[in-house]
Amino acid sequence: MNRSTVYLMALATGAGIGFLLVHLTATPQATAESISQAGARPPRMPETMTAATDRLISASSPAMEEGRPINSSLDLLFAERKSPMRTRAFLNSRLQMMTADQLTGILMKGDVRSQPELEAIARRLARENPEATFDLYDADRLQLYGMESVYTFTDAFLRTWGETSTDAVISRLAKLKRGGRQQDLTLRFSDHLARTNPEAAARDFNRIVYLRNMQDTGDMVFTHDRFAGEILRSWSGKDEAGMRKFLENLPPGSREHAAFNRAADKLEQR
Amino acid sequence: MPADDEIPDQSLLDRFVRHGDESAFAALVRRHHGMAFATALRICGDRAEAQDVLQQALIVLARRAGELGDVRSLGAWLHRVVVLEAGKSRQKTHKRRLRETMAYQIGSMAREAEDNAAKLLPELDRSLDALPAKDREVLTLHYLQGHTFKSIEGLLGGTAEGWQKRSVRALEKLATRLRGRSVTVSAITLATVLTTSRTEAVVTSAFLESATRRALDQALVKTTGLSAKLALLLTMKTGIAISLTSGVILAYGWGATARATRQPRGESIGHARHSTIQETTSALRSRPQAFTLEMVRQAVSDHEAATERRAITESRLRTLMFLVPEEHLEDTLEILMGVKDKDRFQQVAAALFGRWAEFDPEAALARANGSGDFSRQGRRAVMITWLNQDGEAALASIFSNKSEENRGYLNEFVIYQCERAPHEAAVLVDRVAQEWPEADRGLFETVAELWSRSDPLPAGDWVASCEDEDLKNKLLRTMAVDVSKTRGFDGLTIANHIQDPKARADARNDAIYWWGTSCGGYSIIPGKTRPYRDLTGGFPADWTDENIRTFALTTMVNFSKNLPDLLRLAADDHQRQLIYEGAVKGVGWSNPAAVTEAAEALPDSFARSPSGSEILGVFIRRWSEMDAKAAAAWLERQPSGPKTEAMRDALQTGKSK
Repeated sequence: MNRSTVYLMALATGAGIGFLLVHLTATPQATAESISQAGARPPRMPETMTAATDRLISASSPAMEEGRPINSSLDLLFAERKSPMRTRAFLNSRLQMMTADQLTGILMKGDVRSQPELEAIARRLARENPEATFDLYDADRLQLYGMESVYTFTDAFLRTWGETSTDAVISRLAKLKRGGRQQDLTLRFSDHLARTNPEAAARDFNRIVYLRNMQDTGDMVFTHDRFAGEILRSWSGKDEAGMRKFLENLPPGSREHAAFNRAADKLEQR
Repeated sequence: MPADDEIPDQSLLDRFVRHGDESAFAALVRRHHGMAFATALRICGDRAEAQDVLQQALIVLARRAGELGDVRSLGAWLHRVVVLEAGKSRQKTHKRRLRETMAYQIGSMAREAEDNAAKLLPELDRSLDALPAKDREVLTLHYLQGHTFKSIEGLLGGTAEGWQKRSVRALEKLATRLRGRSVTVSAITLATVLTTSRTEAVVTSAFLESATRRALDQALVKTTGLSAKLALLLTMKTGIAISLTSGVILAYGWGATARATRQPRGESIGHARHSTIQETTSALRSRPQAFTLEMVRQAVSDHEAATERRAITESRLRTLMFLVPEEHLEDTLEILMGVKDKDRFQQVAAALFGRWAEFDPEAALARANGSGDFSRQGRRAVMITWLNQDGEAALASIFSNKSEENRGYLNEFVIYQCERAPHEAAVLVDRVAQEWPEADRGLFETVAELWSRSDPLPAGDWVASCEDEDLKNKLLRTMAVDVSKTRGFDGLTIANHIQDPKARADARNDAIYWWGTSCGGYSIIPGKTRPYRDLTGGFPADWTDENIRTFALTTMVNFSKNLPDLLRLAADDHQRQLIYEGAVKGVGWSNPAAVTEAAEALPDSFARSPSGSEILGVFIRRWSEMDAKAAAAWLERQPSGPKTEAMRDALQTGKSK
C-alpha cells in the first residue's frame, strides 16, 4: 500500500468521520429543528364521533357558518324553502353551540329578531346567568326590536327563572324603578304564576299586588280583588283543599283577607 | 447601569451571545419563565411534564440565541418554542397511553368529552400559535406576560390604543380558531383564562435556577462539540492510522443504525399495535365529512343518557335528522323506533319526517301514519314541510280532509311564513277562505297580527278589505294599539280604517295611550326620533284634547325627565294646561319630584274639580311615600289656595288610613 493510497483512505475515513460528526451533532439539534417547523400545527387528538357530527352539521349549510348573524342565517334558511323545522333545528343548533357570553353578545348586538330563537336564548340565559342578564335588560343594553320581542324574551326569561326561584324573580322586579316596565313585567309574570303556581302567587300576594299597581286612581288600576280572583280560579281547579286551608289561615282584618274572601264569594257564585 | 429588568430583551441576548454573559441569560429566563411555564402547563395539564417542557425550551433558547438576530418579541418567539415542545411531549405521552390502554381507547374515542373547559386548555396555545405574528405578539405580551399596552407600545412601536384594539381583535380570532377545533369559548372568557393561567402557574426558584444552569450546560455541550469537530478536521492528516480504523468502525456502525431506522414500523411486532392504533384514529379523523348511521346511533345514545343540558343533545339530533340521505331514512326511523322513552324523541322524529317530506311528501305522510308513537308529530312535520315546498298540492290534500289537526298545521305554517313572507301567508289565507271558510277566521287574525308587526300599513289595508265589520273593527283596534307602541302614526293610520266614528275615536285614543307609554319620550326629542313617530313639530291638528291629555299622562309615566320637551309641543296655553294635567297625573306614579313645575303651573280651578283634586292628592301622596321630607318642604313653599288644600287633605286622609 503506497503512501498516496494511505492518504486517500485516510481522507475518505476523515470525510466519513466528518460526515458522521455532522449527523451526530444533528441529533441534539433535533430540538432546535422545532423552530423551523414553526407554523406547522402539531397533530390533533383523535376526533370523537360527536365532534365529527358537529363538524358535519357546521358544514351542512352556509347558514351554519360561525360568526354569521342569526338573522342572516334565518334569511338563508327561509329562502331555501325546505322544511320549516329544518330552519328551527339549524338555528337552534347554532345557539346551542354558543356559550352564555356569546348569546348575551348577540342580543346586545341586536342580532336576533325571530321569536323562537329569542325564546330559546331567554330560557338558556335564565338558567345559566339570570341576574346579570336581567341587569343588562334593565339597563337597556339588550337590543330587542318591538314589543313582541320584548314580551317574548321577558316572558320566557322570567318564567324560566321563576321555575328555579319565584322569590328571586319577585325580588328583582321589586328593584326595578317604579313605572310602566315594573308594572308590565309584574303583570305578565304574576298572571302566569297565578295560572301555574297559585300557591306561590298567594304566598307573595302583597308584594306582587304592590308591583302590579302603579297608582291609586285612574284607568290602570289592578286591584287586589282581581289578582286574588285569578289565583283562586286557578287554585280551585288544581287543589281546592289547599286553597281552603290557605283562606282559613289568612290574618283577619287584613287587605289580603278581604280581597281573597271577596274573590272566594265570587267564585262560589259562579 | 440599569437593572436587568429594565434592559430590553435584545440587549440581554446580545450580552449572552457575544460575551457569554450567563447573568443576562438568567435575566431573560426570569423575565419569560412565567409565561413559558403557564403555556406548557395549559397544554400538558401536568406540572412535572410542564417543567420538562420549560427545561427543553430554555435549552433551545440558549442554543439558538445567536441565530435570533433582531427579535421583536422574545416572548412570542419563546411561546412558539414552548408550544412545539409541549406538542412533542403530548404526542409522546399520548402514544404511551394509547399503547397502555389500547383495548379501551378505540371505543372511548367515539365519545366526546363534553366539558368545554377541559378541551380548552390543551387547544388554547396551539390556536394562539397559529395566529398572525402581530396578534400573537400582543396576546403573548399582554395576557401571558402581563405587559401593559403602554409597555407594548415601547417595545414594538405603534400606539397603546392600537395594540389594545388589536388585542381585542386577536382574542376574537383566537375564539374563532378554537371553535374550529370544537372548543366553544368567548373572547371574554379567553382573556380571563389567559390571565388566570399566568398568575396560577408558578415554578419554584430552585427549579428555575437549575433549569437555567442545565440550559447553559447543554448549550456549552453543543459549542464544545463544534470545536471538537473543527479540531478533528484540522488534525486529520496527522492521525491517519487512527482515523482509518475509527472511520471504518463508525461508518459500519452508522450504516447499521441507518438500516434499523429505515426499517418499516409494521415489520416490528413492537410497532404493529401502535401502527394499528394510528390507522384507526386516522380513520376516525377522516370520517366526519360524510353522514353515517353511527352518528345517529351515537347522538341517540347521548340524548337518551342526557340528564342535564338535554337541549343540546336534542338540538344536535334534530339537526342531524336533516342531513340524513334518502337511502338512510328508513334505517334512521328504525333507530328512533327502538328508543325506550318515545316522548323524549318526539321532536327528533318530527325532524326526520320533515326531512322525509323534503324528498317525497306523500311517501313521508304514508310512512308517518304507520309510525306508531311518532305518527302525530310525523304528520305535522310532513304537512308543514309540504306546505312550504309545494303549497297548492299540500292545500289540496288538506281540503280533502278538513280536520282540526290540519287546521292546526295551517296555523303553524302561516306563523312561520309571516316571519319573512307575510304577504305570501295572506295569499294562502285568502285561498283557504274560498275553500274552507270555517278555518279562515283564525288564520286571518293570526296573519293580521303578525304582518302588522313587520309591515303595518299593508297589513292594515288587507284587514280593512275584510267584509266582516265586527271582525275587521276588532282586529284594527288591536293592531292600532300594537303598532302604535313602536310606530306611533302607523297605529293611528290603522285606527282610521274603522268606519264607526265613536269606535274610531276610542281606538285612536287607545293607540295614543300606548304610544305615550311605550315610546312617548322617544317621540318628542328633536333629532332623536323617527319619522313614523316624530311629534317634535307639535300635536297634529286632528288630535283632540283627550288625545293630548292621554299622551301627556302616559308619556310622563316612563319619561318624566322629558317634561320640558313635552311642554315645547304645546301650541298655546290651552294645550299647555292639558299637558300639565296629564303630566301631574302620569308622573305621580313614578317620579313626582320631576313635575313640581307642572303642579305649580296648574290653575286653582283644576283643584276645584273632583278629578283634579284627586290627581293632586295622588301626586303628593306618592311623593311623600318616596321622599317625605322633600314633598313636605315643597308643599310648605306653595302659596295657600285650593291646590295646597287639596294636597294637605290628601295627606291627612292618607295618614288616617
